[in-house]
Amino acid sequence: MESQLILHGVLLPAAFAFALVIAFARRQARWMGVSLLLAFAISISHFDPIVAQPRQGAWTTIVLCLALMVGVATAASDRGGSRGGRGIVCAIAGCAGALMLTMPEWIAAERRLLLAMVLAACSALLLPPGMHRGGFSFWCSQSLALAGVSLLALASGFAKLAIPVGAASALCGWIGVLALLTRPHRAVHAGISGSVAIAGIAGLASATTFAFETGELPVSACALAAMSPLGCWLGELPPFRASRIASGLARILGCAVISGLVALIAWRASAHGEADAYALADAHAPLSIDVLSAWTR
Amino acid sequence: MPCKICIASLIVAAPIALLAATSPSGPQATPAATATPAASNSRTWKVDDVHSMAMFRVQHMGAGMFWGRFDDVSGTVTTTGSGPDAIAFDISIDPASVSSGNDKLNAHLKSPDFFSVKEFPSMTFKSTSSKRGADGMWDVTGDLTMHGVTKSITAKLEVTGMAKGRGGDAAGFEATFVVDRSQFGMNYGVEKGAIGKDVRVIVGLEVGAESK
Repeated sequence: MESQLILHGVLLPAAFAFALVIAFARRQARWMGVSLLLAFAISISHFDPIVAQPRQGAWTTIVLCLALMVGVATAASDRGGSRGGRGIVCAIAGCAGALMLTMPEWIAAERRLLLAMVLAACSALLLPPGMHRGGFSFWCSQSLALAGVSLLALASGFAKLAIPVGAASALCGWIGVLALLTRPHRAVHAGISGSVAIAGIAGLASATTFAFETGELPVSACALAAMSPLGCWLGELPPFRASRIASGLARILGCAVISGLVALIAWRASAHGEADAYALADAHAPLSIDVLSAWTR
Repeated sequence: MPCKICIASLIVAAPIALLAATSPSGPQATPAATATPAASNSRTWKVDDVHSMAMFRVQHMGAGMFWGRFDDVSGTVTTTGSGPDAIAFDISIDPASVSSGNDKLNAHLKSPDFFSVKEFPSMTFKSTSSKRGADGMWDVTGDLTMHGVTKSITAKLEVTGMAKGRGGDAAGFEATFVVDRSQFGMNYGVEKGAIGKDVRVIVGLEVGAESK
């Protein structure tokens, strides 16, 4: 059962979006954000239809927020412009996504404004590393960052959110491998669209986890998870920046450390025990036991 | 003179006899009895949240039956004696009080995968009609609101007992019904068969008569 969950929720949506990357992204980096949005949305809609009757809950509006962010970034990515101009576009996209989010804990104006500021800052700050070296090391580090966000959602008991974030994480990993295999690396640069999409998924998913959390998950874990993509800034620091390999390793290390911290805090806060609904799924595959079959109705 | 005495005796005795015939005494004070007399005997009973709970049962992995319960059940029961609203229920359950005996599983049950307690902080049942069957059980139909969706359901209700306690009259009810949780937008694990779609719910209520 768990293997089916990973196949339908993570691998297939990520593979479908990866096909889009191969088809379009080598020509235009703006497709990166659209691909990430696609992987995320397909994964969600597989388990919880985004347009459904009866409604599935407000949390699925996260797709609309992300679509708005990616839409703004993708529309602006054709314009080129200065570094500052691109940063402003990212900030506007982040604000737009945060202000659209209608969930418990994020209704009050001051909280909404705080979320908008955080998301705008994360989107704008992720752009320089994505533009500088947006190849293997960037995608690999972002894959680790999103894996941490997915674990955070899982630890709070929110599997339906953990799965699509896992799909986005898997897609980042595959794009990273593609970047490693293809030369020049520039072919699969994240660009504005990809950077905003990653910051959006991390920020919105962390905010949603916090919104629905009913246990003792600390706010610090959610805040760290939202900012985990920025761990790649470690590779931009002077000691590492000059060397491509050192910078790449530092980026991966930066995101891995933050993700590890998020996972550690989240799992320590969550209660222990085999409690997931899918626990021991493989051991409970349908069986045909002659004696028992005679007893069951 | 004897005639006058007879008339006076009749005048005094008649109201006493009338009062004796209509006054509630003995078993008539119980909810079961209020189910038969006129509608003027309407009484409101308050759910005793300490001695009431709702249990649910769902199949896990196509094998065992998993049980959970809600600890916080509140509301009122109104008994009017006859008609389609002979027994009327207005019950509310706090989904955040869900308890499975495992903290991690409780967190999962409270999440948007299942009850999404922050988004939908209450589950309610408001009855619309009740009918007593030949077997003494009641069919209580009403609107169940869960996970933001309202559907009509019919519960089998048993009046489990009545008592006169220190706090006044008390009565007990046990209602059983089955819901298709996917109709309420709660579909986690349904498609893959990990967790059953049909959930049997058993609500045990103890109610106390509210002072008039």
